[in-house]
Amino acid sequence: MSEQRLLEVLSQVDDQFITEATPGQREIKPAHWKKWVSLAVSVCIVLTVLLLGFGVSYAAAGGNIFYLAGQLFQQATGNPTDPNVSDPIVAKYKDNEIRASVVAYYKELDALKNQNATTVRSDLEIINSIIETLILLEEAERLGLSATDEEIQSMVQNTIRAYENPGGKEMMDAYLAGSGMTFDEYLAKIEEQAPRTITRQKMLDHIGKQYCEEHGIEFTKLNPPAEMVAAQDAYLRNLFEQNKDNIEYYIDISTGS
Amino acid sequence: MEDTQIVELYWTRSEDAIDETDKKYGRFCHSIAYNILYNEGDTRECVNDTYLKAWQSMPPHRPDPLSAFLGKITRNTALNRYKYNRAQLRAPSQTPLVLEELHECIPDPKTTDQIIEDMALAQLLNDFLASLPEQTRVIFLQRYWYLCTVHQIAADQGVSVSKVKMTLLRTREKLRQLLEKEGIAV
Repeated sequence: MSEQRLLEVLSQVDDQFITEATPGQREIKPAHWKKWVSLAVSVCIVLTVLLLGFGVSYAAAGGNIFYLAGQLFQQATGNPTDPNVSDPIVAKYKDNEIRASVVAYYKELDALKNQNATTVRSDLEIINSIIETLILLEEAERLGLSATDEEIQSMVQNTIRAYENPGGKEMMDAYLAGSGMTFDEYLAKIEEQAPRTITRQKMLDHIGKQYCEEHGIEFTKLNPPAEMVAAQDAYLRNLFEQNKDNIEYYIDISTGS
Repeated sequence: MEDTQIVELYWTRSEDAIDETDKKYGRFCHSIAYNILYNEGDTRECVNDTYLKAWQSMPPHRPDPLSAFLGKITRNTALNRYKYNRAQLRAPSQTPLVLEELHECIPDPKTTDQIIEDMALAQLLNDFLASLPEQTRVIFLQRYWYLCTVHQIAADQGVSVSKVKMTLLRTREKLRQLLEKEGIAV
């Protein structure tokens, strides 16, 4: 019997099995990517402290910066008020609302990270970058590139190890003091946000690897080839363009504010 | 619209039957055919053929569920189209076209023995599927009935790609053992 025949005879299996296996009917658990989406339109500074500290010593960065980053997080997440009154929607992607406070938060964080920078991102650029993340997460989900439990736990363990390092401890303690969180609360936030961060990175790696394979280049994340980075950017731009009809802006996009 | 209402439209020979079928099951049929053919033009033709065959089958049939009925027609039509496309690639002549045209004159090209064998095999497959845990069965059928990619299945089931691959590997092995035991060589 050939595999072709087996494939054909499979057509005759019971209707109940065919109906049961229909793709797209499983209820997606909110614990998975729906949760990441809501996080994508909220503040996610907890991990930023690691980005701020990456390759920079506490003293070189100016120790105060971590305390201030923690304070920003505390301000953005503490004392919630009625969002419809004090926090207008500035943009929507499908059902995801982007609030003014989230944009303001990222703007302040940008300013903190780039104290010597001459340019800062406009509201529109920040909004588009949040939407880009949402679209990227959707695409990753479609391609089955979700973060695994092992990857999430590995990120948590890396954070614990970083805290055991004296330099890392100093930075994180400053951040925790600013945010008013304990280290355990910080770890819980890391675990909550890790799926989104990991998935986003896996998706970018996927695009990069695909490009490198097609062009006979070695894939690397350390000093990545410029053409691979350009291909990743082009892919993101294309995804964004494809989803433009799902975006609604409630700001003046001609001025970006 | 409910399936029973759509079936009723076929029985009353209303042309709305096709429109309503397309509205409710167009994407479903399209995805089945596309997963087999990977060609938009062929897929559209295949879905249209599905509607025509549904029109020719109702009456006398009153399928329930309608989705599985349409899915089966789409799948068979797409597999036949796939075979035809491959044959045409191997022999770029009029032969496949002529054979295809002659094929329409034959009531059923299968021999009685083949039909009985296929029925026995289908029953065996049904028993085998019934014996599997639900998620394993769904993963197996999404791969071999709906011809989804392992990435699509992983996304649909909310599991990792490696879990899908492992489940498929183990299930294929179980099926191979069962077919061997029953004296059916694959």
